[in-house]
Amino acid sequence: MRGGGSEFETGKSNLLPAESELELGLGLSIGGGAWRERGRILTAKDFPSVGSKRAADSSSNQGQGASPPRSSQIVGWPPIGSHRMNKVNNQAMKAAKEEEEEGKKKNEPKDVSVQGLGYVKVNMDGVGIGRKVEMRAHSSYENLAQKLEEMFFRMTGTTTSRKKVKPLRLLDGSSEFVLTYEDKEGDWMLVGDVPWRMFIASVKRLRIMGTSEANGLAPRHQDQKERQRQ
Amino acid sequence: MDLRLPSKVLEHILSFVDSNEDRNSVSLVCKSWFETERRTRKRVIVRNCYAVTPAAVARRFPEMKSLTLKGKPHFADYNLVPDGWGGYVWPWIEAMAAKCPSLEELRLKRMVVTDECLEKIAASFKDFKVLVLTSCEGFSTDGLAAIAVACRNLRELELRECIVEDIGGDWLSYFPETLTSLVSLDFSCLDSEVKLSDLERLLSRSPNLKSLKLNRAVSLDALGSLLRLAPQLVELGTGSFSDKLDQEAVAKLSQAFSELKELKSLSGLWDVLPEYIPLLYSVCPGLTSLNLSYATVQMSDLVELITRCSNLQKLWVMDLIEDKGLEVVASSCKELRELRVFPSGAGLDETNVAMTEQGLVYVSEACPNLESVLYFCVQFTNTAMVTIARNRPNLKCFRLCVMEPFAPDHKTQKPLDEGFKAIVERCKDLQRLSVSGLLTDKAFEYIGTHGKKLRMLSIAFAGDSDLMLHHLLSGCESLNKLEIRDCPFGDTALLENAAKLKTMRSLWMSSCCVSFGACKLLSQKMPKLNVEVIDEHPLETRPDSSPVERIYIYRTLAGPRLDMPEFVWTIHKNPEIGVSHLAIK
Repeated sequence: MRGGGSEFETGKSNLLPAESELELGLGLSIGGGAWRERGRILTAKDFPSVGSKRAADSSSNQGQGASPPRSSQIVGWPPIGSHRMNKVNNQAMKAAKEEEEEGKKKNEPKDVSVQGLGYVKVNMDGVGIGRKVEMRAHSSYENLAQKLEEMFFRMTGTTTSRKKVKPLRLLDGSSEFVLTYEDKEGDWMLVGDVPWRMFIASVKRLRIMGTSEANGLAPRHQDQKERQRQ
Repeated sequence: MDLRLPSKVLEHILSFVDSNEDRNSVSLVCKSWFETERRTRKRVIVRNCYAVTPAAVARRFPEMKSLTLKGKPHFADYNLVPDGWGGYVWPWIEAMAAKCPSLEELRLKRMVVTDECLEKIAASFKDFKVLVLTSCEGFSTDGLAAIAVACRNLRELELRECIVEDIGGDWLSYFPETLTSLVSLDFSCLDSEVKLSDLERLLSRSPNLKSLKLNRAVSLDALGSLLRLAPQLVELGTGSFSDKLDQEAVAKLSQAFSELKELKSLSGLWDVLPEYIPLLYSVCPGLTSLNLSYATVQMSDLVELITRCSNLQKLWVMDLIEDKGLEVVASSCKELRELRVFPSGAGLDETNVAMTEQGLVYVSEACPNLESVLYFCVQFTNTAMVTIARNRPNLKCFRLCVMEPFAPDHKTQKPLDEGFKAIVERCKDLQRLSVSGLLTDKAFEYIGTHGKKLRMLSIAFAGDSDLMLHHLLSGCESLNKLEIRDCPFGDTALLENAAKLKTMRSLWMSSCCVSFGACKLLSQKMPKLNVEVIDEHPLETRPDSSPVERIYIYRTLAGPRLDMPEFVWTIHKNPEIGVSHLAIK
């Protein structure tokens, strides 16, 4: 159960049953159709220092002016009436809307399981054994990178070794490795473009690859454009 | 000694009392005032069709001439309410047909209207005059034909953004030759073509026609001859504005526009080509309302029109107008009261956005009467909102939609808390607010503290905890409608502020963290509320802790409704019965 105390401490209500074992999550209804699977998203209540951490997150993503890759894939977002949506000459929004309409018509049974554990497999090139990392335990890209560094780059040294470990800098492209992830659609992307919360909702697997190999991946900006055109 | 005012005198006095708010107060004074008031009320407005039964309304107001009804919750506009949820107008029409046959006007919003309903209206109300359907669905053009043929004194027929099964344009030909009373006709949401000759004949015999809104299928060529037949128009919605016309036709059309001496409102303009923009110049100075939200032209063309519209009070436009264009709006349209900027979709694909928060800042600086704003933007800043609030403390409606969920202030990367704080602090008369972008609980603390006149609040992807909801429900004294989606809280705040829900019209929460158990508790505690759970999965077998997909809570005198579909559950007041559909097929 999630660190449950926090949100129920303020003003305990005597209306609430004693064991409020509530497995609750913020459901971001991503993907067309109102009834599809929802992902679990971290909210700031999971972490002590809210504002600053999140501000730090956002600044670490070159978030400035970043186009919102997913906002057109969320049900009913942006909040524009369907009449207006139909007249708008935009492929991305139209496609998303059509998907939404389809989903509504099919009314397909939704797999309600709020995503269980947030563990994601991480593999690193050249390392045989993969690891797992709990996405929900991290508040930001920095945090995640730190953890991965600990996992993959310190295990080779002994604890008594005073050898300085080169900081990984997985996120800013200055080291010999880059961090990439596979999203829900099966595309491989460079980590760091989207807001943290959206990243957690869509990441399926992580991979640390050599920069030389990563050059095969399209640059971030183009990536998003390509995906939207689909 | 009888000190009561004779009812005839009271009736006479009440005939001067127009506002329903005042009439509601009058009806609370004493029993005889209640009786006199109810017998004299002509215009009845029911803002939630499930808050009261049709029979009760018909019984109370036998002299009703005009009925306004609203059905589905607002978020239905964005596909968040599944089809089949409800909002059927049939029971109302049945009840009115039986008890209030002198009904003349029906205005419906977000309701399901079938052809059967339209036929019943046509058959039951002999003096029917006004039918205005906004965001309604469920009927076809056959139903329109039924209205057209039977309503001899029809004055207004308006279909605003309805979903209509379009069988063809024939319905228009059903207006009898004897019908000369038409004042307003709006079929802009229909797809199929109506016969031009039918339309021309209708216009020829409608000297009182003031408002005409055509659909996209009416060509530019046809527009010319239509305008010549109705130069008295005050409101015009054009059809498609993109046919290729020869020089002579263009000249004729230009002439026709210049004859529209009374025109105050212009809309339509679908697919307008830049070379036709000058056709509109002659009407610009007289316009108070301009809807360019379907005009896919670039900033420079939009600006050509806008510089000429010095009397504009209402402007709807797409973000193609860019900051530069809004700067022109600021300098040209000093009378502006309402601005809506819709996304064209261009902003989503490109990182180089030419419309930012700055555009709105310009307008807020220069337009002293600006009181209503709807602004879709890719990103925003706190500073901009603070400036806007300082410039325009007279804002009544501020709806900001930052299109990327959780987007922070793009300059400082901080949440947009401070910006919205400035808005609610400075704009003391703010009645409607929509928030977006990255927001923490603090934003809602500010709104709760300062938003005392706030009646309607819309929230998406925001906040951190139950505190957010608690601040709002305990702080916003005038709160009437609250709609929330994808926010991380529910139970505690909801249960603690349960009493507040009785003072509100409705609360909508979807993709939040409200548990089934809390819904049950709330429903049992509050008998005058309908707690509807809209969720596909059967609730009987669900643990109390499981979150529900959507919850719609509204106050009602009518008890749980009887027309719920399978996916809507109401928590029965009697705990033994538990959860029920109460669906009647």
